[in-house]
Amino acid sequence: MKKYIMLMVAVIFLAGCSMTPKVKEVAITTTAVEKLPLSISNPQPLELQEVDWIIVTEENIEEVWQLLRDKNEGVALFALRHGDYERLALNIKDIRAQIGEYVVILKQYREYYESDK
Amino acid sequence: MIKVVLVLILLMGSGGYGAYAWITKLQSDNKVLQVNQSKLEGAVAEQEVAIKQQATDAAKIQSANSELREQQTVLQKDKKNLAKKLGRHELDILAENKPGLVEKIINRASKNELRCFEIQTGSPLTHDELAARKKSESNNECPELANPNLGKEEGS
Repeated sequence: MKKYIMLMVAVIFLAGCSMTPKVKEVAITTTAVEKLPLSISNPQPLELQEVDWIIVTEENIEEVWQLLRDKNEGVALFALRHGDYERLALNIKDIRAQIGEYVVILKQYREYYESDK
Repeated sequence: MIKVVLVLILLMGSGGYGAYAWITKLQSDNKVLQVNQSKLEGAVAEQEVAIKQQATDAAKIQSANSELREQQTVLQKDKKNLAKKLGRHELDILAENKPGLVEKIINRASKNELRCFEIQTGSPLTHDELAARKKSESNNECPELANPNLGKEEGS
C-alpha cells in the first residue's frame, strides 16, 4: 500500500509542473510608421525696394549738395569708389547665385520626397 | 497455413501502412514546397518592384542633379557677364566724363538685379517679361531667368 502511495506522490510531483498555466508567447509585431511630413510652406518671394545711385564728380558735387539741401536731407553721401562698387555688384551676383541654388535644391527635395503623396 | 496467411496479412498491413505514411509525407512535403514556391514568387515580385523603384529614384536623382548644374551654369553666366562688362569699361573714367549716362546705366542695372532676386525667389513673371523677345526689351542682369522667350520668334 505504502509503495502505491509513494508511486502516486512521485507521479503527481513529476506531472505537477505540466499543470501550471503555460507561459504566453510574446508576439512582437513591427509596423513601419512614416514620419509626419514637415509641410513647411515656401518663403514668400522677395519684394525689394528700389535704390538710386548718384554719380558724384568734381563738376557736379555742388549740384548734388544743393539737391540734398533742397530736399531737406542731411548733406552727406554714402560713397563707394568704383572698385568697391564693382566688388559689391559681383558680391550681389554671388549671393543671388547661392539663393538660386538653394531654391532649386528645395524644389528638388520637395519633388523627390513629396511628389508621390 | 494459417500462420502463413497471418504473416502475409501482417506483411501486407505493414506494407500498406508504409505506403500510406510515405504518400502522406510526400503530400505534406508537396504542400510545404508549394508554400515555399509562392513565397519565393512573392519575394521575386517584391524584389522586382524594389529594383524598379530604385531605378525610378536614380533617374529622379540624376535629373535633380542635372537641373541644379544647369541652374548653377546660368547663375555663374550672369556673374561672368557682369565681370566681363565691368572689365571692358574703365568705370571711373566713364563716370567722370559722363556721370549722367553712367548713373542711368547703373540704376537700370540695379533695378534689374533686384527684379532678378524677386524672380529667383518665386515672384511670377510679368506680361512684359514674358513678352520680351529682343535684347533691348530684356532684363540684362538675368535674361534666362526673366525672359524665357528671349530670341524666340513670335508665336513659337
